[in-house]
Amino acid sequence: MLIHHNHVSEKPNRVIVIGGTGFLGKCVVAKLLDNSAEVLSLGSSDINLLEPSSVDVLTKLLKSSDTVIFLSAITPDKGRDANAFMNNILMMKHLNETLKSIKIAHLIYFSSDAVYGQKQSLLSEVSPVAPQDLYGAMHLARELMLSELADIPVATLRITAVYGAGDTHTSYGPNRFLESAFKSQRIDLFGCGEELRDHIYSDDVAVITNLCVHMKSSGVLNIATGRSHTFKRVAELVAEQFDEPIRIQKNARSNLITHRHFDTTNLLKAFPSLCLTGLEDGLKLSQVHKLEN
Amino acid sequence: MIQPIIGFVGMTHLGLVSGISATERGFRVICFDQDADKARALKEGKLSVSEPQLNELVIKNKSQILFTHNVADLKKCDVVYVAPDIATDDFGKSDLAPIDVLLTLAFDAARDDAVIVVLSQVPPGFSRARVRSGRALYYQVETLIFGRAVERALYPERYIIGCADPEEALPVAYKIFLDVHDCPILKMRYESAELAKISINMCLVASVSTANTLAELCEKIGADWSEIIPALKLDRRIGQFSYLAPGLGIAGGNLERDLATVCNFADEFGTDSGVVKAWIANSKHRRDWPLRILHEVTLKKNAEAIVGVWGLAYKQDTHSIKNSQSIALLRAISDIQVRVFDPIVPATVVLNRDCVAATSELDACMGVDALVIMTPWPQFSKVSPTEIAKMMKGHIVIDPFKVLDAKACRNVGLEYFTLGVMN
Repeated sequence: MLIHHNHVSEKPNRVIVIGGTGFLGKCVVAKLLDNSAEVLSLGSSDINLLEPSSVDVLTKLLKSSDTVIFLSAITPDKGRDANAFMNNILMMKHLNETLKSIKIAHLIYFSSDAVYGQKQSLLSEVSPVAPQDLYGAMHLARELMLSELADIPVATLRITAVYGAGDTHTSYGPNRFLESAFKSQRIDLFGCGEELRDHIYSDDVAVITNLCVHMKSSGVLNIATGRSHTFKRVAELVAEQFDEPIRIQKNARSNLITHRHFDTTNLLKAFPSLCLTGLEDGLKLSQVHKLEN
Repeated sequence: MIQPIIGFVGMTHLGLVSGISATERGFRVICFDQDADKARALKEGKLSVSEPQLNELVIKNKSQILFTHNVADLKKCDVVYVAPDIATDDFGKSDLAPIDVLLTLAFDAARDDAVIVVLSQVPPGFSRARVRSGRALYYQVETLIFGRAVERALYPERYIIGCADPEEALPVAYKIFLDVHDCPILKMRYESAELAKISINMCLVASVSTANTLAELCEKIGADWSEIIPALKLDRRIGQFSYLAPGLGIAGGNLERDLATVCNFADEFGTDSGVVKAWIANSKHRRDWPLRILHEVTLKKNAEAIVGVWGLAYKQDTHSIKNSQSIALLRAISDIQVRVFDPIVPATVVLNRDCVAATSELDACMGVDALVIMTPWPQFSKVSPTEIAKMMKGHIVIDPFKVLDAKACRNVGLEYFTLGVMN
């Protein structure tokens, strides 16, 4: 549940987006610029958070009036092992050390729904956290590290599967389906694609992040649409967008079927007028972007 | 023994209703409150609570009732009920300090041979810890239902009496009072009676939670919960009076208190309370059903929407807004313009920035994009859907409790949403 520290939407002084050059970071930066915010986007080439010296760099850079959005992470497609875990923790350690000496105005942390276990099919912010892998454990550990920053309002956004224009990740789901439909006119499903998942369009994540910035929100919020679809349905929607026939291939299943739904009531309470992109529209927008690029 | 005089201490909802109802059973009653202004107002017929029949009875039986703030009047009583409402905090924890004050007052003020009865709901262990040597103390389970409190006081299904020793006979004066109500009297040790009250409420919550869980499923798979209810009620193991109507979770404060008590005791004694915690979670989930529907069909399409809300009380026939689902909804849409109407609860309880206090049901519909009926007051069902449609700008009606006739609403072009069926 989020608490808004601003009663009405207020333009932030300066927003520093750490991890602003990645897929999601770019979306967030673009949306902030649309809203005329002063934005400083930092990627790993600007600041290497794995280095202890990053603390000094950040300390010199940050001002107490800044809002910081922290998206930097080694994502599962780049590594799921202990090394990735340790490096991700190290990055947060350096941010944490910096923020203990500079009390910034607001921090937004991009966490993940991987902090939840797989046993519960309906998730809300009060669902027990029980990560099933090191990636989920890493985000949970980072959340706990941030809880040491008692003086800074922190919004933790636990984001579910994101898809959208410019996504470089190819994890199982909309982006991979679009990519393989383009390249090979074929989409491969695990089993018959029965699993239900909630997929959120990248622009919507950016919109919600913007709202959090302008309302100076703190607390924990799941970022999902509240509507889950089977992978089969996603594949069919992707296939329908192509003129040529797309083969949807079922494959042998090695894992049990699990489903994931989100109760997004707290998102509605935080932003009652929020309108999210439907899956069909989001997939079309993603495809248009792909064709244009 | 001649008719005993019955005293009631603490003139909040429970004490007031119980005292006035006792007059209808032919007893002389002394109603005591420490607050002189409150006692005076009651003497003038200004009742601080709203319940069907209550006003009529207090007028009818005026000669049998004395409202007082003079503690010495309790000396006249043969039986003294200590019956303040027990306030709870946001976590459902009872504040027992006020009843302790009044219980001590009753012990000190009443005659030594008077029977002291705790009527307020107290947690297991409360009564035995307050036994005084040589004094008769009982705990009587109240099964008051808001909106049906007088009826329940006049015609109880049974009396559950907590005793220091259930083998001992009840004092004559107390027995005379109970016998008049012509229902079974179940004596048991204090702790059993205190837990019996909680047990009753847990069974009710179990029914309500089952209904809500399955009603939600009906909404997704195309079943209609209202068609299933009769099948359940005709099953003797479930019963015709079971709580099976789908609702918006648990409100009012009393059931929440018992849920919290069971969880706290379970934590303390290491017993399993997983199912109770699941009921609490389910209640919170269902409470927000109107918000989810309202967002889906109105707010996400129109950020400037105006919403009409009928009902603020947590249920019909009461002034109470404790944990009211309506207030929760209004809080969740605090930036949205609203027009609210409740037959009893004033709109001043609504803290929304842009709230119009409507003067009637139809006034609350004027120019709104959506109407949400949050309390099933009987009078709401008398409002014509045709008139509602004429007054509204939009056509969305969210009616969880089926106050209005779905078909009649749809016939006049209203888009109608309710619980337990696919909308």
